[in-house]
Parts: sequence; structure tokens; C-alpha cells
Amino acid sequence: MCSKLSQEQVVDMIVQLKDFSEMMVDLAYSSLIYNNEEIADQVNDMEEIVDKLYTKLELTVLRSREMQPAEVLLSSIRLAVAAEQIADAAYKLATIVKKGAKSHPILKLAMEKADETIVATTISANSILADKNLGELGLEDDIGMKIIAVKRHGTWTYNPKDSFTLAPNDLIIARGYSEGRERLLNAASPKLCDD
Amino acid sequence: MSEEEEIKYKPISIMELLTQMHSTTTLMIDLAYSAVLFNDKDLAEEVSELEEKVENLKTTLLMNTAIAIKDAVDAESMIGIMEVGGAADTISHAAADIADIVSIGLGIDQNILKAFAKTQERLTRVIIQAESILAGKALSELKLETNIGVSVIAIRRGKELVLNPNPNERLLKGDTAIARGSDVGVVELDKLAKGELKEIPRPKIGNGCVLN
Repeated sequence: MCSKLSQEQVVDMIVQLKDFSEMMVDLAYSSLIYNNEEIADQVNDMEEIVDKLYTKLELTVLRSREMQPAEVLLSSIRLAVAAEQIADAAYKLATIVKKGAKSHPILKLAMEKADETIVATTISANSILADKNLGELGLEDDIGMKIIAVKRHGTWTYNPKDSFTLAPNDLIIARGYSEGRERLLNAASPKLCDD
Repeated sequence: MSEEEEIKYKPISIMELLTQMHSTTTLMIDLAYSAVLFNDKDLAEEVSELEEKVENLKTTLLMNTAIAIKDAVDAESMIGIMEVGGAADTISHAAADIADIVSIGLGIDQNILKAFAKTQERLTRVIIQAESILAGKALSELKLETNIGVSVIAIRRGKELVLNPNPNERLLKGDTAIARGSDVGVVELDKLAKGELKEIPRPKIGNGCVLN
């Protein structure tokens, strides 16, 4: 009966590793583009969590070795190793920022040219996004923009939940495609009609 | 596996190289997990080919940065770019390792596949039916990214596989589209592909102006 539990733990840890590693890559590129040490620090913190999670997963898999064919256990370990390597790559990117290397302007330009990229913007007082929670806004489904971090009064919230309510002056970092980006920027700081 | 490409300098801008490396590695992660999720060996094979492409891009990037560096100041400003190239290469190898699980047929715990299929941002695979309004339309007309938050990362048409389709590519009846999107978006894509949803939902968030 404890083996069923350990199997569930493995699944849960692999999903966490996948989510963490992908989020770290987004954050690492954000820290690099905006030369932001706080976001780089967050990536470092997440790297530590990933390392612990990864060790725990390996142990859990090894302990459950009689439960499943060796091939299936191996694939679980390989998925975890790959996620851990992706997290490591993100950590290296963040380290560049921590070491104080000035972000080369080419980097920002190169990222802006990619189909899918990261954008940062501030919510203005007349923004239609203000005082709505992310669940209501459904930006990911509506315009394909995923908010990966929000800064309010000097504090960052990473991967904000659906219940998170945006407020004027919040700095948001989001990932998405070109037209969605334009719509998000316009929604955050709407242009006034001429007349 | 194709033959090793000879190391040769190509006149291509550092910016273009970085854009290509970033786009390719992002695509590779999605393709690799799709290969796992749908147990698709062809997709897995494409990931290994892209791994080679990224390797070549990295070599070219290093040569270009080497040419651009004339003194210590240049070297300090370029180190970040070289590190980005290295990180992209690491991500590319990791994606290829994920794809390898499928290529060598290791088999994956069904519960992991079920869990992957339920994450907030997820991968999906749909077949375009004759009655679908998507059939015959170019991706640039459909604007699925902006309208439903879904990005088509590959199209399978018979034996042909189109990766990262360009905006002019059309979805045809019988095509299998592999896409990534939000939980809500992928359900909308599924309904559109089956012909159950006859209109593409438009974004609520417009791009107009506000009255003062």
C-alpha cells in the first residue's frame, strides 16, 4: 500500500519538475532581458528546490523498483534528469545577471524578434485589467498571454494564481505572441480616444 | 542521423542566431514532451535533428562573437551572449534526451501521461475534420494564438511533418495539428477541429482606445 503512494509521489514530482523548469527558463530570460537581479535571485531559489525535488524523486523511484518494469522507472528518471538540466540552464542564465554582466542590447532585440517572447509593463490607473483577478481576466485563453510574475510595492509574486487581483502600478511580466502582446500593452495602459 | 556538418563560418547576424536558437529550443521542449505524450517516434526523430541544428547554430554564434571581440570591453559585453548560446545548447540536449525516451521505446508510466495532460498549460493533438471551419484556412487568418491562446507547433499531413508552421501555412482537412495552449484554449481548438464550434472566439480584450 505504501508503494501505491510512492507511485503517486513520483508522478507528482515529475509534473512539478517539468513546471518548475519551464517557469525558470521564462524567468531567467526575463531577468536577462530586463537586467533584473531580483528575478535572477528567484531563479536561484527555484534551482535549490529543483535539486531537492530531484534527489527525492530518484530515491522514491529506486525504492519503488519492484513495483514497475525497470524500463518504466528509467523513463521516469530520465524525464526528471532532463527537467533538472533545463533548470540548470536557466540557473546559468540567471547567474549571468547576478555576476553583473550588462545585458547586451542585442539580447533584448533578439528576444523581441522571436515569435513567442516576454514583455514587461505597468498597470495604469485607467487600465481595464486593474481590480480584476487573473481568473476573471483569463488572459491566457483570451489573448494567449501568460503572466509569469507581478511586482507590487517591491515584492514579486511568481506564477500568480487565478485568485490574484491586479492593481494599478503593478509591474507585470508576461509571455506570449506578437498580437497578444500589443493587446496586453494597450490593456495595461490604454490610449485615450482623440475626441 | 545526418552527416556531421563541417565547421564553416556563415555571415549571419548574432541577433538572428540568438532568435533562432531561442525559438528552436522552445519548440524542441514542446515537441519532446509531445512525443512523450502521444508516443510519437516521428516527433522524437525531429527533435534529434533539431538538436544538431542548435549545435551548429551555437558553433556559428561562437565564431561570430569571436570575430566581434576586439578588446576586453567587447569580451565583457559579449560573455552574456555566449552564455546564452551555451544555455540554449544545454536545453536542446535535455529536450533530445526526453525525445530519446520515445525513440528507444522505454515506455512511460500511464499516470505521468495523464498528469501531463492535465497541467494548466498543455499540449494537444487534433484532427481537422471536413466540417471544421479551420479547414482550408491559413494560420495567419485564424490567429489562434491571439484568439484562443493556442499555438500550433507542428502539422502532420500524410507522411509529411511541418514543424513550427509559418503564418501562410493552411490547415487542411485530415491534417493532424499538434498545439500548445491553456486548458480552456485546447478545448476550444478541439471543438473547432471537430466542427462543433463554428466560430473562432474573439478576444474580449480589444486594441481600441478608452474614453477619458
